[in-house]
Amino acid sequence: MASRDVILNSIRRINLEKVEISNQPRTPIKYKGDLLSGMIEKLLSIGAEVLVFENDVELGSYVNTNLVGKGVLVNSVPTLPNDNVSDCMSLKPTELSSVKIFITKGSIGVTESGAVWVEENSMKLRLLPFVCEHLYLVLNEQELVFDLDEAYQKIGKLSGGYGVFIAGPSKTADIEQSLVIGAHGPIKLTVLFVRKHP
Amino acid sequence: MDTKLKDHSKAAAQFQVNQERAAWHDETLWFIREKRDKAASHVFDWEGLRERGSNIKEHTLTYLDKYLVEFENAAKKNGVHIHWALDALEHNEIVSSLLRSRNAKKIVKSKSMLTEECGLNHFLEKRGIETVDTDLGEYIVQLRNEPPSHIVLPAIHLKKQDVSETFHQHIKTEKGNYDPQYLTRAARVVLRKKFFRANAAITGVNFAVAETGEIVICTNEGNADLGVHAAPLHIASMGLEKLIPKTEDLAVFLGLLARSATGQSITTYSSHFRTPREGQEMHIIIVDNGRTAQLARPHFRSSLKCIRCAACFNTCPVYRRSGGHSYHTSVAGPIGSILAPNFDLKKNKDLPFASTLCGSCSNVCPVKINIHEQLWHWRQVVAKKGESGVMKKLSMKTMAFVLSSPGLYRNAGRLARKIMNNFPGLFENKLNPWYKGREMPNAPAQSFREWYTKQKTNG
Repeated sequence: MASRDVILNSIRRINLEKVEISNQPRTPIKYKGDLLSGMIEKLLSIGAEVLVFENDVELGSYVNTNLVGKGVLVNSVPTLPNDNVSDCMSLKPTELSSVKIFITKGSIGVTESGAVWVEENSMKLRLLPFVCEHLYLVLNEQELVFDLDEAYQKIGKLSGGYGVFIAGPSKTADIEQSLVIGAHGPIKLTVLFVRKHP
Repeated sequence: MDTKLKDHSKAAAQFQVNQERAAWHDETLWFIREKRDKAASHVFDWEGLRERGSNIKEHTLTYLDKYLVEFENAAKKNGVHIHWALDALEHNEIVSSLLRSRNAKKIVKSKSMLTEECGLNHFLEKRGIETVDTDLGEYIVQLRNEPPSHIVLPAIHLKKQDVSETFHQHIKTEKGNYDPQYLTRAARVVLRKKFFRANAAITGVNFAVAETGEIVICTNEGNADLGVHAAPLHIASMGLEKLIPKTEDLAVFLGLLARSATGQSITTYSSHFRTPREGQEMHIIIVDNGRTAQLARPHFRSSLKCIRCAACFNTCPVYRRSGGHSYHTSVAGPIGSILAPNFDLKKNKDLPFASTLCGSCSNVCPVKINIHEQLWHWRQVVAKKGESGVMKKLSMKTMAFVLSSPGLYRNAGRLARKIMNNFPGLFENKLNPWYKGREMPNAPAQSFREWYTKQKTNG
């Protein structure tokens, strides 16, 4: 018999008394603060940097002035000028490791954790948010929620092949519990908020 | 090969020889426990979250076969290959055969306690396949040829000077430079090369979602993602108890995991893998290795709720003062002590006794496993199987004999108090285990019964 069937049969043979998911009503969370300032505070506390722009134009101008020309830059945000990520699609990992800056768009920000949700259809290449030295995540103010329960309501069932919650720059405390920012992933993370006015 | 059965208390005594180091280990782990407390206190309803986590896991375990089949079907639709392994050997053979068929000789591995449990690295090494552990803590202990001493913080037993020495020896960092940032950057450069040269990436699985077939891997360093997104082959090993029913359940478990483990609200990366990358092959190996046996044990099945956060390690006064290596098993600490006897009772019969039954572990467990009660239950199993050992059996029989006779008990007590007060030296030596590291109390002049009787007669 295949191992699969041996395993499933051993489980079925135990014939456990079923426990159902509790449908006890949950205490609703009343977050009284402002989601954006809460998120900024949380991001700063986990080692990320934050910038806030009034609109896409301001953001675009910041990117042109401060990021272009500072090293190999890959941008996958369609609303920003020079979205050049398609140039990278056929590159090998070793070639991608020369990317200094990667700018991509998150789709949800979670204030309680400081985490930004980024899906594959935004980053285009899964390796890019990890191999770059400095990661920039663009997020609209309207895309903020308080906690993970709300975030997963928005995510629903993952439609793409890959998604990741990113909370800060890569880090480790494996050497005598001393926090080091910048382990294997990006050494820096900056979240660029845009306050889009409807 | 060392076939002598290892004993936790002997290993702990060894660990305690360097008192200063043992105290440092104790303090360090307690500090991490405190971080967990702080994080939990910021959650609106932490106890409610624990209850949700416990309930979802309990539910999943009672419907495990249904969810396993649902997971397999969903994963296959995603283009993922699913394998099933009865035991460690079968798991290792599946991995090795996948690697050999694709001529993969250079492997990177992110943290997977399951692969430690199965002895995968050693198995592959004997077959000429080099596996590099990329989690910084695991990389350090791998270079030192040691097992990890903690499931979340593998090198917690080492000081930065130890790491500096190891790196100087193996990756030529400056001798005597033990700045953690310098050492971490050096490892970053070395491991980047390994990531990009690897033919395959092996990972563990933190959570497997039945409804979508996706797996979630949590890291702070980004090493799982760097390995998987660069390699043509991804093999993920998971214990069959890692299943949860729905994607939305991740809100509960991601909310519990990092807070309980390190005091962070969430790990830097919580990566959801549903499909392989274009052009990549993805395989998931579902492993039993004693889990269905544990599921069949009424007192111990809830130990399978474990999400491997190690909060129980960090709070346990015994673990803090004895270190992970004293447990001679891949998962140490309180949870390890209720999992390991299921694998091999004879080998691990000492572990349920590596505890004061204080219950702190159950108190911090994010999924409310009654660890301290299970430790006690395992002791009954050990005793019933006759594995207690001569001294324990003898002392328990003697105690039962004395306690069952009020007259004998009173006289024994009177005699003991007389001897302790007149010949204290008899108890203040190496033969008395209670004298290690503490003073003996003065014996009271009279027992409570004697005092009470006197009070009554005096009116």
